[in-house]
Amino acid sequence: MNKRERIFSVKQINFHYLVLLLLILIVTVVMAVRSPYFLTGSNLQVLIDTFIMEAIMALGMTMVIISGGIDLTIAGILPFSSIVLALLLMNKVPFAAAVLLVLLAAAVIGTITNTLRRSLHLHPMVVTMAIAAVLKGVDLTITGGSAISGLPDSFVRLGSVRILGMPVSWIVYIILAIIFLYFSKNNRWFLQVFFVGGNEDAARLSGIKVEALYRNVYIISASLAAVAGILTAITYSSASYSYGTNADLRVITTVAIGGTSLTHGGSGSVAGTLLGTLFMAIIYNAFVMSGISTYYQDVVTGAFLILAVLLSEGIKVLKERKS
Amino acid sequence: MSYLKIDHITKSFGNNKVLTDISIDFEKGEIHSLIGENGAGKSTLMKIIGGIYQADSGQILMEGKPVRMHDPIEAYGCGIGIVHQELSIAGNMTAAQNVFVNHEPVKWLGFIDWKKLYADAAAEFDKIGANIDPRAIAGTLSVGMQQMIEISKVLSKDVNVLILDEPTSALSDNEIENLFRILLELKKMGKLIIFISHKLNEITRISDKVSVLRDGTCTGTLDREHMEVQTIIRMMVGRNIDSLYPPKAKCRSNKKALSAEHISRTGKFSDLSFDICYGEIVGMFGLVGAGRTECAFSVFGADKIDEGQIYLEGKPVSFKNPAQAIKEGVCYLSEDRKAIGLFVDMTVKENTVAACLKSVCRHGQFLDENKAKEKTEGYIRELDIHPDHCLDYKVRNLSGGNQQKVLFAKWLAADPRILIVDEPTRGVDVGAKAMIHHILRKLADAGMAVWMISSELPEILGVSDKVIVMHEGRCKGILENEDLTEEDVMKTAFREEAEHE
Repeated sequence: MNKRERIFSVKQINFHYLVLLLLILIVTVVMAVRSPYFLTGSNLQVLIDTFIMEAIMALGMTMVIISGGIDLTIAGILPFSSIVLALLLMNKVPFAAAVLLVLLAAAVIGTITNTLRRSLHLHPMVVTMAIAAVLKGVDLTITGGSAISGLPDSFVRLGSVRILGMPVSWIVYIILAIIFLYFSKNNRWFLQVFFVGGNEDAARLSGIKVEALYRNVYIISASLAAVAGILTAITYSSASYSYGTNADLRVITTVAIGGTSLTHGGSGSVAGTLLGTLFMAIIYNAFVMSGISTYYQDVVTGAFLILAVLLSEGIKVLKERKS
Repeated sequence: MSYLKIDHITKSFGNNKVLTDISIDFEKGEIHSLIGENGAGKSTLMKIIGGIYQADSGQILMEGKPVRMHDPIEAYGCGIGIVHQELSIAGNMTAAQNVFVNHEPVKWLGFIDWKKLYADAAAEFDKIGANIDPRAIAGTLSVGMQQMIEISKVLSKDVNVLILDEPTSALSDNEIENLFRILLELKKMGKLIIFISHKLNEITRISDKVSVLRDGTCTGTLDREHMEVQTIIRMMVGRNIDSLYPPKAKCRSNKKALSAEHISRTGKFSDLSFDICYGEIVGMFGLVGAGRTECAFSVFGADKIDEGQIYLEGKPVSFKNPAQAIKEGVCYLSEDRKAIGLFVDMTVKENTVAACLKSVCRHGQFLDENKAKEKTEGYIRELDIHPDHCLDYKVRNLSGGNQQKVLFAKWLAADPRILIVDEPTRGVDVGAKAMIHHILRKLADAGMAVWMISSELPEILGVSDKVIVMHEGRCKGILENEDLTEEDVMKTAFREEAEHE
């Protein structure tokens, strides 16, 4: 008996991982052959930078989707957070306090999402879509449609800080990814998310506090979107309503590509999401390198979403036929 | 020459041989029952007759001629129709639409002839004596009514062979009576009825013949005059089950574990008072709708209590959610294992630790893989869950009896002092049933307080030490189970309110 075997057995999605790794390998080889710049350090840096915000939000989205829900608010929270942060900083609020306030705001939004979902018995898709729309409207109203720049120097300098040669956003992502990877397999609360997604009623009768769990899942997702917003503001030294446009689509696609089921909760993994993130980042980069217009990116993202669902459902059907 | 003959049928799924060389003759105008433990192959055999699966070898003969059916539509062509265990009613459509789904009477250009649809449906319901309004929305009707709709749906296609897969498992006693009346009616009309059930008393009551399946083979067909319960059981399990029910309590303490005093929940139950002591099994009997499950839900914290008080070892308690109840050692094993009991797409191990996560986590937070595995393996052994290496099997892939055992494992792992079991043997075969009853007794003898809710009188009488009789949300009496008869219990359930006072 293998000691590395975990309770939410990785075995069942292994095939999915293999397919993904193979695809990543193929794209990498093809690109490396086509362009000598693909495997250079500067391109890898671009590759990571273009997808790092989605990567962060995909961690929270994985837990939301495993719990059986979906969160479209992230595309609204990301720019909202950057704008709120910028306004706070320009009003002489200390950086640490501003960050805390932004995170608090995100937690409140997550709580509102869950409260509406529960008290109105609405599908999370409807609730989160509405909240995202409201936030985008608020963003536009506050900024009047233009970017906020001219932020305090101390903040602007954060954008060029390098720790171990990496920008702040990378460090934040690495820490978050490690925590999510470890916790999702071992932590009691994370395990409960799987149970609730698998069968909400059975989970409640098994003594899991289902409502608190849902609330926390949405708070985590919203908070990670806020973190992404803050990091975006740091990276560009500005805030804009246009940050994170269509990020929801890209993040959900990433999670789905990673093998987390959109059709029923309770199955999926953070490890899969990490692979999905790598795959999507490489694909987007391959576009840029190939000179394909970024306008086509959404077309392809949509196509991948369908591919991902087909892949994971297809494997399931094949398995059921076998057994 | 028999009307329908299945001849040396064999069927495997992968390496798993499900049916081996089965031959059975069926005649017109008979009710022919099929019985066997879970996983014996009854449903597979019926699906082959109904054209859903194809046999690997062997053939099906109708009036001596071999027929081949590749899908249910071809089976209908041969006059064979199945009413499945899981009903396939479209809940938001009318009863009539459900009966004629996919072959609605149409007018010019394919517009549905609504008048004729409702008239035809009324005629179909009339045929089987079902009192259903064709315009009623199917989802608002009782399960019994929905089943009548399903039967009408099959009969409307002019079938001569009607297969019913465990039709009575979700029906109330009245509905079962009505179903049997219809079956006898259809038998008189010369139809062949193949009836699959777990309930021996039903089978011996209405069938003309019974064929017994065991591990994918047919161990024989009995005529009416040879249909004895002991014989059937022997053919099913391959051995005698001497004592269907466990012995009574060895030592019942007088220490009250759980007491309810005048508890009520509006519209569900009212003014219930009872005590459950350590070391005893208290049976709670009542028909469907008596308020038993609702009462258990309220005690367990899954629902509120409007009035009254619950005491745990004499201390007043009120659980706001199941988590609090479980913490105090009160566990509730639900009646509907698939819907609210198990996580069917998760593994046996995950299910086993679901209600006791804290105890298999280091510092209560981080999972200890080995502990979870040990715990699960212990229960697989103790409860004899098959197959014995099912640790990482999805629960969905286990048979009904074994799923029920996993549900037991889940709750035993939570280490209860008071165990509420709701219909603990529903849809479970004879062998597993006897085993579950013995487990309950063992738990009680080890000092646990067991509260068993059941609508099966033989089970209540065979297992409990004390019987709480419920009817329409009220407690009609608490009887000591000494020489208690089914009649005593039924009389208590239906006795007049005035007499009770």
